[in-house]
Amino acid sequence: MSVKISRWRDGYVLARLEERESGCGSAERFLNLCRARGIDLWDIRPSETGLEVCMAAGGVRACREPLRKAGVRLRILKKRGLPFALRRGRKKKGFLAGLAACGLILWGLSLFIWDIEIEGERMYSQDTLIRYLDSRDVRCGVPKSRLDADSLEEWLRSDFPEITWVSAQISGTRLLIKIKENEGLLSVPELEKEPRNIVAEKDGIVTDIVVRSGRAQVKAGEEVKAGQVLISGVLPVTDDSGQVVKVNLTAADGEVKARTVQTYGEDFEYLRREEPLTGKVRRGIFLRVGGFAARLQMPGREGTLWKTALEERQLQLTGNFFLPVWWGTICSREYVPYERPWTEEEEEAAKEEVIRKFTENLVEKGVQIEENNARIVENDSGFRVEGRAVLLEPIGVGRPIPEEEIPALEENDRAE
Amino acid sequence: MGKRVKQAAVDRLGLPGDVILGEVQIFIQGGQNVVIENYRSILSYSQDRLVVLTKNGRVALEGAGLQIEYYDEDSMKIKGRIRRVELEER
Repeated sequence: MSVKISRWRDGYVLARLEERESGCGSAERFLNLCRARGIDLWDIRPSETGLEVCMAAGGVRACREPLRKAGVRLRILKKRGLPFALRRGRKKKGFLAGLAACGLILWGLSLFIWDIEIEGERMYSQDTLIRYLDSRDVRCGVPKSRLDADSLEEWLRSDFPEITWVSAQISGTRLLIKIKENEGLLSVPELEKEPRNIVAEKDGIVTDIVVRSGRAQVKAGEEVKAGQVLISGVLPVTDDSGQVVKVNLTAADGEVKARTVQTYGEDFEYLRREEPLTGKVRRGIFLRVGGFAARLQMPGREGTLWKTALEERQLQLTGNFFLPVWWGTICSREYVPYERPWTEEEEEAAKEEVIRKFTENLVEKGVQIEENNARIVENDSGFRVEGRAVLLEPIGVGRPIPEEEIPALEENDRAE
Repeated sequence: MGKRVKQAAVDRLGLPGDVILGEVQIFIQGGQNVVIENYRSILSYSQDRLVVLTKNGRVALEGAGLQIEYYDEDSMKIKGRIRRVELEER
């Protein structure tokens, strides 16, 4: 294809090789001589009066010597390609004016941004970044002269702390933004310094306890209730008689893992909505130029419902020269919705889905699942998927030490 | 290097004959297209017959509506209805 385009761009001729009057010419010899001199000939076909060949416009002059040696004459039948089209149109004022107007419009359009591409985003979605750019007046149709790549990079870096590297580049009518997001920790979590206890977040049976700071209040295998102190930040100092002489307060720290029970569930309506396609399809096309849009599609019968999908493409002259013209195809498929009760298989599938969602959340948090059972319970409005899971998870959370937990010292002790 | 040595190298070492000996290669696609590589020159050409010279002889193509789609230093592609391909060794 690219060969055909380049031939058309440079111009070529369709010519016929005719024998000279002497009668001793040879078209085959001419072909061999051209080949030896690198003169490109293609689409060669014999006709009644001689061979017809296509050759580049520049080759006509170069093939004089082969013509003479081979004893043939070249008769040009047609001139094809851009240079000839331009020459033919030279005398037509309308054509020239159109060409000039086209050039002017293209030049005018090339002063604006018509496509924004963002690469390298992971945490921030492209939508978020595009909306942000829009709030900063950076959008399709903005003049290139009003864009400053450096300040754009700075805005992105300062407003999105997770972005550690930005490169904004204007190429043609396209704004290309490459970003790199932070993959490590932004800040080291600070160690708690204020006195605190570690208390149970929920009920469970302690399976493992590691104390880094403070005093353990429970042992492995002990049952605990939500709110119960697991590691105390109160460190009483006693004398030989066992009397408290001093109380040190510390920020309790450690890990307490417990076996907990968690229930979950989800309700489903008795009827589920189905939207089967009837097989009727309406296809159409649309064209959007700047803010104006036109759509060509047969209207659907009144009262019918359609699912519509659009496929949009943007016009581009070269890799980076985008124009504000979008076109595409529209495909609408008719559907007839109805409601029907769930089948047993579907209920089972819904149950599996509920279990999957539940476990997915937990696995992300690093919780171990020891046991997980779910069942379907029919009720008046439909059915409910009820589940019960036994988990192995950290349950300790830091809480300030309540006043009443700090043992009071005797007056004379304090005095000491 | 003599022809016999080259031939022996091709036979014993399994080297490609078209590269070492400059032998002609002919590819036929479904009776509609023929590509000839390693040819020397065009001897005669008409709508129903094309003869090209190769290092070891001639290749004659017979058919109807034969057209040379392209030809260059190494290869040529012929379109048309191909009925017969004939090799004449010298």
